[in-house]
Amino acid sequence: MGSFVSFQNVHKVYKTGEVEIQALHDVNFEIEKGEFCVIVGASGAGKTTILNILGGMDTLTGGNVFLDGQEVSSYNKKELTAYRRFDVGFVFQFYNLVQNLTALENVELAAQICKEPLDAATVLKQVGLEERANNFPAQLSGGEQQRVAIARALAKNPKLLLCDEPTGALDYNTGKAVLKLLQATCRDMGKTVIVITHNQALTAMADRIITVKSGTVVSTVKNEHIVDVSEIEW
Amino acid sequence: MVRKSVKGTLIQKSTFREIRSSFGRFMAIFAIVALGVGFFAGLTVAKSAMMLTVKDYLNQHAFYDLRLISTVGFDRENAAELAGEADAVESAVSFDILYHMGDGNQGVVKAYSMTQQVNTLKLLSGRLPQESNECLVDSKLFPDSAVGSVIYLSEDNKEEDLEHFAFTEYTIVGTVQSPLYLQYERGNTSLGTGRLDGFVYMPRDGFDVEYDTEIYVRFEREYALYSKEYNEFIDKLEPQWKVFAQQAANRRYGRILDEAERELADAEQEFAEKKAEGEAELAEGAMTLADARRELAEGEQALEDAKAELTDGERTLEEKERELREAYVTIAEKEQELADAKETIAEKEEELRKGEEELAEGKRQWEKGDEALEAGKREVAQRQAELAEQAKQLAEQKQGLQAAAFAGLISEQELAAGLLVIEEGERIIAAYEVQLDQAVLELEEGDSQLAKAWEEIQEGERQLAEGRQALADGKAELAEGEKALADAGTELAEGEEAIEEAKAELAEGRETLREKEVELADGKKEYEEGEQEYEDALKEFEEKIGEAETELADARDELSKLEEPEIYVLGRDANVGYVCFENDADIVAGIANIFPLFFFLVAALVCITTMNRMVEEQRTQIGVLKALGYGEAAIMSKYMTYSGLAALTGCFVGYFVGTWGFPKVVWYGYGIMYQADPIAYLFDWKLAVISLAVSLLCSMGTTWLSCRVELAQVAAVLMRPKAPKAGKRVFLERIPFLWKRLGFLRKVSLRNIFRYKKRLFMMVVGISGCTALLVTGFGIKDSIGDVARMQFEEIQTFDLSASLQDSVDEGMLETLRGLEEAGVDSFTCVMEKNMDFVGETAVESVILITGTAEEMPNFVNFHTENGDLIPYPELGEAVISDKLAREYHVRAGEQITLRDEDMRTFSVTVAAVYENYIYDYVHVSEETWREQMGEEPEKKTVYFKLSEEPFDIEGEALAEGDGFALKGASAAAAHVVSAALMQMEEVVNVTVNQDTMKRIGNMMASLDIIVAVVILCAAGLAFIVLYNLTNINITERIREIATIKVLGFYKKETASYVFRENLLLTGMGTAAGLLLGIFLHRFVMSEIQVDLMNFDVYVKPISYCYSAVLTIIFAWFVDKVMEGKLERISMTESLKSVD
Repeated sequence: MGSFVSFQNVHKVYKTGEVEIQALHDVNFEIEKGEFCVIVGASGAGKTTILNILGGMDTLTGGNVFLDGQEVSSYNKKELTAYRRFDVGFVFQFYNLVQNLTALENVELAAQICKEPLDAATVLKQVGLEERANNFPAQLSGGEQQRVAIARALAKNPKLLLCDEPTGALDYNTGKAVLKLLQATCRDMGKTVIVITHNQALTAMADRIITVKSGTVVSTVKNEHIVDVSEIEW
Repeated sequence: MVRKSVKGTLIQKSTFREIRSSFGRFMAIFAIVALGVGFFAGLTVAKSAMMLTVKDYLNQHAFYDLRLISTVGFDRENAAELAGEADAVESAVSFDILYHMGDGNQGVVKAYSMTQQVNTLKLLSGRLPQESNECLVDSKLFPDSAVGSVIYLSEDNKEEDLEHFAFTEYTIVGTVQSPLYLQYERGNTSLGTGRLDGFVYMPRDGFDVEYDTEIYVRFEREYALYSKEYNEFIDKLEPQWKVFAQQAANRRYGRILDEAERELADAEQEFAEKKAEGEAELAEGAMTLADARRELAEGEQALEDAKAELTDGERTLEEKERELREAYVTIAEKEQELADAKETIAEKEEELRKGEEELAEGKRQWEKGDEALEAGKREVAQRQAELAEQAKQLAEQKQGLQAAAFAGLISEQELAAGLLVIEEGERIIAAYEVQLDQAVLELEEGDSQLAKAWEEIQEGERQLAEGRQALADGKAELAEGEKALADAGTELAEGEEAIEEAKAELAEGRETLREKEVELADGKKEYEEGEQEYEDALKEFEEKIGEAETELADARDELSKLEEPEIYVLGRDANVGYVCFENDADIVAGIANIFPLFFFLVAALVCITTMNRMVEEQRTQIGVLKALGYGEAAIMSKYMTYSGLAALTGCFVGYFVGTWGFPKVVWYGYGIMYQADPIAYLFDWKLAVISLAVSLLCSMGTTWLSCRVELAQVAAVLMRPKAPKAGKRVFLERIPFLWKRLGFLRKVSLRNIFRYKKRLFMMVVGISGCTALLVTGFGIKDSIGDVARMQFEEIQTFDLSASLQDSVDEGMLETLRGLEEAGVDSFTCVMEKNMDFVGETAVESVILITGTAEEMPNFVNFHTENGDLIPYPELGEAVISDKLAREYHVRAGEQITLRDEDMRTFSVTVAAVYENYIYDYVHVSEETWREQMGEEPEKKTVYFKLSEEPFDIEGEALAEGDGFALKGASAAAAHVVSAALMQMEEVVNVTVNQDTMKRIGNMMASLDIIVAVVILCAAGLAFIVLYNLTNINITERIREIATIKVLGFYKKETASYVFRENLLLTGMGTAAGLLLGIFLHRFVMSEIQVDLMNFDVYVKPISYCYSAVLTIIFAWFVDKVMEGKLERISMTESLKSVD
């Protein structure tokens, strides 16, 4: 069990009224520390459920989930909150910045609740937004907003960076830039980055590719031919 | 998310699903509309319902329209004569009278005769009177339990007042309320304390007067209460009735005059007769008295004679007694003599016996001597013989010797010795011979002596015989003497007996004399009494004659002074209850005007924000529907239906609950002051339509506005997510010093607050409204509830007051001074007089109090509203209570005029206006009264101040150091003094201020219900506003909240992130509300003015605290409820796209 992230026989059943929907079944995969992992699958395949479970936003019906040797699946509500707070950084498809806070403040918002946060201004500088630090989200472009979101996730200095369709709302070039930033983060800062996408093209840049289909992992592949972001086309 | 509706019915379906899914929002609109409508309709209808209730009540009990009174009253037939002129004309009689319930505490009631057609009574307990000595009593004055007890007319009543009544005690058979007394105020009187305590109704036969005091007239017309039409109707009738009244009064006047003159003539005649009769009686009396005097003199003479006789008899008796005493002495002497004689005889006899014995002895001795002599003679003879023998012998011997000597036989010596012995013998014989010679001599003498003794014996015998003879003689003599003595004794005994008899007779005579003397004394006394009687009778006669003459003169005088009768025709506006009710009902209407406006404003705001948000939320859906080809009307109908339904149901519930509940609550509050029937439910359809229209306007109007903006846009725009409202810098950020110190969460909150201006406005309005309502609610209580305490602790600082029967005099003062023992510290005697204050526009009853500058400030603390002390008024000046000054715009330095019941006026300059809460007072000094009215003030009221020592019921001093001492004297101490006062005959009534305070306090306690309603409404308002806004806030920011949760904010942090805004806004709203509350409270208080009281428009600091704290508690409560909702927000919301 030396893996950094480990899913073992994970099941997830949603119940709405009398209808039971099996979202996940027999999900098994492992991700090593410092890897850039892409979880890929079509809409409804169950990748968001995996993200929810891994991100501590949802509980599972069966199986075990481990992160850095800790069993996430056994956490209660409060522990899950602490887990999200200290161990996971999120990057959302729609950035989810607080509209009322400036770019810098949005980063600080996350930083201030952590134990060993990175300096907000520095992180913002790292994502190349030092000049936009005092702008409100509404004054930023989508890519800039997503970079602020990444900066916000990084500032928490998490063990794991979870990105949900980070490029989904972005245009091609901006999306590339964002992906580049994520890859750089992984490489330079040694963070484990998990990107969830429906875009097969992104798998090329990943260290590990996990393919999800109909609620289960169909393949876990270690990528031998890592392609630079700039060369990826979609 | 997008619900596809294909047809109009599906739109409706969608609407109902929408209601179900967003029930909180639906309820918010429903509740605020219900609250607004309830408040508006409830308060508005309250006045109408009160009016209706009172109108029905007055109609049912045939409240009079006109009341005729005349200074001479009316004949009992007058009413019947006028019967054709109105629907009901009935005369009645009423008199004020002092009464008590047998416990010594007196009160004043107005006694009315019961009427059948007008002013009928509402029986609350018991039954109607059947006997003329039964009565019905004021239910405000007597509890139901008084039924069956007896009400006594006080002995302190003037004779002329008591004469009006047929009995002096009446049995209470029931308690009633009278339409004449709609309000608690019972009016003034000239008796007792000057204030009527209540009323009593009794059958006409319970009165003993042959005339009626008033005539009530009633017209059956359906005019609205206090309406202009009614007033005009009555005004038109008045002159006509004045004529009727004048005619009736004049008739009665004429009759009275005739009667009085006849009576006077009769009286004069009677007087003359009685005078003559009296004089004749007196003369007879004088004659009888003279006879008696003569008889008495005769009796006295006879007595004197008898006394003299008795004295003589006594003297004789004394002499006889002395004689008797002397005779006794003589007899005693004789007896002594006799006894002596007897003794002498006995002695003689003894002597005689002794003499005989001696004689016998002498004879025996003589015989013995004779014998002895014979024996001696023989002895002598013998001896002589013997001697002669011896001498012969001797002589022989001598011879023999001599012979022998010769013979020489014997020596010479022997011869000598022998011779010697013979010589000796010869000598002895010689001696014997001598002796014998002597004895012979003696014997011879003895012979002669014996002879002599014999002679003597013979003599003795002769003498003895003589003595015996003498003794016998003496004895005979003695016997004779004894006999004589016995005779004398018998005589003496007889004499004594006679004396005893005489004594007894004398004693009897004395007894008789004494009896006669007593008889005489009695006779004398009788005579004296008779004389006194005669004199008394004479005096009485003279007095009576004098009195009768004065009376006659008075009657003549009165008759000459008898004035033409004056009449008054009074309308309902002369009835205090009727007039006050109009004013007081207006208060409700006043409140009804401001509060609902406020609620509707909030309701409109709630609707607009809610619907705005709803439309915004569903903009994509609207876009889709529009794209699908639905018309604007169809799309809008969903939202219109939604808000319209909420408003309709809210309006319905609010209207009925409000119009049912509010009048009830208000009527309950008014129950303190008014007595009528329970409030009637009034459905005012006009009001219902207005309420519905306004609530629909508020809800659907705002919905229409919100929809119109959105619907104006093309479908494509609508389907694109609306750009989130940009963050903006707030002004605070321009103060980096402050801004930097704030955490992000605070920054977010602040920015959010200013980002949504509409919400800010609504929140502040809603919350401040809530706080203001609370401040007003508590303030009403503070202002009204404290009145009694302020009045009796800060202003009227005396502890109890007593009303006296008469003006205080020196004796009473002394008695009062004696109360110091009971705990009275000081007291002052004042005149409290009910007078009419004559204002420019109206006349108001006030209490005039006279006092002195030295004493009064000790009992009443005169100060301005600001607490500055006011000096006691100087000559010609007055200090008046502030309500009076305010109501009639009187300022210091102005002149005011008062009028007493005899229409005498009294004018003074206002020196100052003092703070006062209950009743209206005018204080002047005694000199001012004296100078203006030319008479001494009638000081019938005494104020007492008790010693301020802490004192409890057991009379032990309170433990020291418990940090608590009662202010002033305790109620127990006051009651001790009160009881002592009540026992005094001169004291009519005692009021303990603490009791009054408690009573008013209890009265005011019913205001609590109104305060509670206000607080409840405030809570409802706060809850609806906060709930709605928080709800909107949360749904609007659901993604933000989800993101925050994903970021790892704990539950509390998330809650505070969201609710900090609420708290901040609540804080702002509260601050604004406190300010607003001051004005709202002032406004409400200016609307609520009760005649007797002057409210202290004042809110205690603690009430501000309560209001603020309660508002915050409401907000906190809402937040707690919303926290659950926050908790239920799924984090997966964060992953969703922007709608």
